Amino acid sequence: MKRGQQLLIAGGLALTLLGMSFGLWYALYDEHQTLGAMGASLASAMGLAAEGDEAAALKAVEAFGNYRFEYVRDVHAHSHWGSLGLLLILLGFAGAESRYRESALAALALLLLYGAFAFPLGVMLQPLQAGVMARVLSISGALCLVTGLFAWAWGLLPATGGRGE
Amino acid sequence: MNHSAQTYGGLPGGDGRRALMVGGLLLILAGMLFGDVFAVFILHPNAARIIGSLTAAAGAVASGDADAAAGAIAVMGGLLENRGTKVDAHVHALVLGYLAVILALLQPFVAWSRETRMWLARWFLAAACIMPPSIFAIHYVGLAYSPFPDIGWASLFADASGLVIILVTLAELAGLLAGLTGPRRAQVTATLTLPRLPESRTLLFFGTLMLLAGFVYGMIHAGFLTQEYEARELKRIEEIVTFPARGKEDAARAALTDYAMLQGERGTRIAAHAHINEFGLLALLLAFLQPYVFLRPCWRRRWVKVLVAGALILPLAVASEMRFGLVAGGVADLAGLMVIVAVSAMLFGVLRESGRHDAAGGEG
Repeated sequence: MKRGQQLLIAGGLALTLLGMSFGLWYALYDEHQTLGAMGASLASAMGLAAEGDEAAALKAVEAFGNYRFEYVRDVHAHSHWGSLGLLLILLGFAGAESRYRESALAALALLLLYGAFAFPLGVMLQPLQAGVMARVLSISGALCLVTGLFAWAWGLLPATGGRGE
Repeated sequence: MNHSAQTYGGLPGGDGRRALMVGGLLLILAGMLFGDVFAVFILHPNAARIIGSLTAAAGAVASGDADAAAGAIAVMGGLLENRGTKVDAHVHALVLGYLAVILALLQPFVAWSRETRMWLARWFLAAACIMPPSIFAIHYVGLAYSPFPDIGWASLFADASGLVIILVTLAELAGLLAGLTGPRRAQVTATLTLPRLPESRTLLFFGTLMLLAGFVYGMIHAGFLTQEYEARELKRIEEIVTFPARGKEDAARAALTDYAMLQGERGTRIAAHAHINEFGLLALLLAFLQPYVFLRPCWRRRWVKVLVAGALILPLAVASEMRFGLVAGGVADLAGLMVIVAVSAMLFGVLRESGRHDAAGGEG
């Protein structure tokens, strides 16, 4: 098995494990609490508005928005780490047929691994006010993933075009 | 050259490979079937009820009834939980099925004994069968008899099964690393190549195209639309909360309508993105499974065509649901059924291969 394949398969499995472990931690310590806080802040906004306290109601809506912002990104990180991990393993399976040399395939595997790790991490860090760092991670990660997948597909084109036996 | 299952390590029983492959396909089928039933019977009525609760809350604000407003939001929270746990059950069954089939394909490279691999496969499959139903039950079990203020028993069962799956996957990763790089690597004699079957090539080509499309679509959505949707959504909620108390009931109704449209638009776009990628992954996975599908080549090709057609139509139909409504929803459900039938046929072929292996007096 080529080194690039080994990197993708072992790295993909490790990334899947990271996604599952984050999901377990999140389900135990954050998810239910965040969902509860989202519901409570929206209910509070409605109650305050009914009592005529518009300023306090708008603050409660803002709190709801912040909880929702965080929830969506945490779920995104969990699901993307898991799915991208599985994808990397499958790309590793097919790597044997790639037209690239072994060193190029290993470099492509590293590019894909970085993208699959950094993109969900950057998205997850957005609610933590990580600012530039979160943007750099998510944008560079997404670009590495898309570029890497196109390059991987290009390397595999002769294999997919074969007539088979 | 012969490209039967034997070329790729065969499908012997007793070492976890066959159990993971069959169990994984069953999980994928269960997840898909549940997703189709959920889409037909729950998704659309539930969406209408969620907007109905928000409308009731806005009405209560207009009449100055704080308790009724909070109560309507609590009802909406329950409906959102109902939808969320069903989507989660659907997705987790699918992903665990994919992981099981991937682990089945990796078994020849895992440097543990046959017995250990079978033991790990049993634990994985047991936990994977418990997790999605536990997630499904979260909405119904709630916090009944729970010792914790936020987490109910169904969640705890789901989390415990998740922990087992993590531990088994960790053991498989350790076995894989030992098989590929450690002192046991000499024991691993299997090779990993793309099956030279036309069906595998078609699935690999189609899966790659779907993934490229899904990635580009996702990047455009995340880069240009997500923040705009979130800002618009929050603005509409502010209006729904404040307008009724100011007596602007028509404006509040308009905000509610726009909010409902926004939810639908956002939901269908995310669902289209998710399904394009899911089917891309599925096609890649099934490309490596074809040597184990013991059917006549013409039937293997037919089922691949059915799968490709269904996997192409479903995301397109989901994406056009906002324009064509229930007609597009119906087409999406039928396309989902096509994928389910094709995967069922492939599972049938895998079972036939198992029987052929046993009848030939194969190992295990």
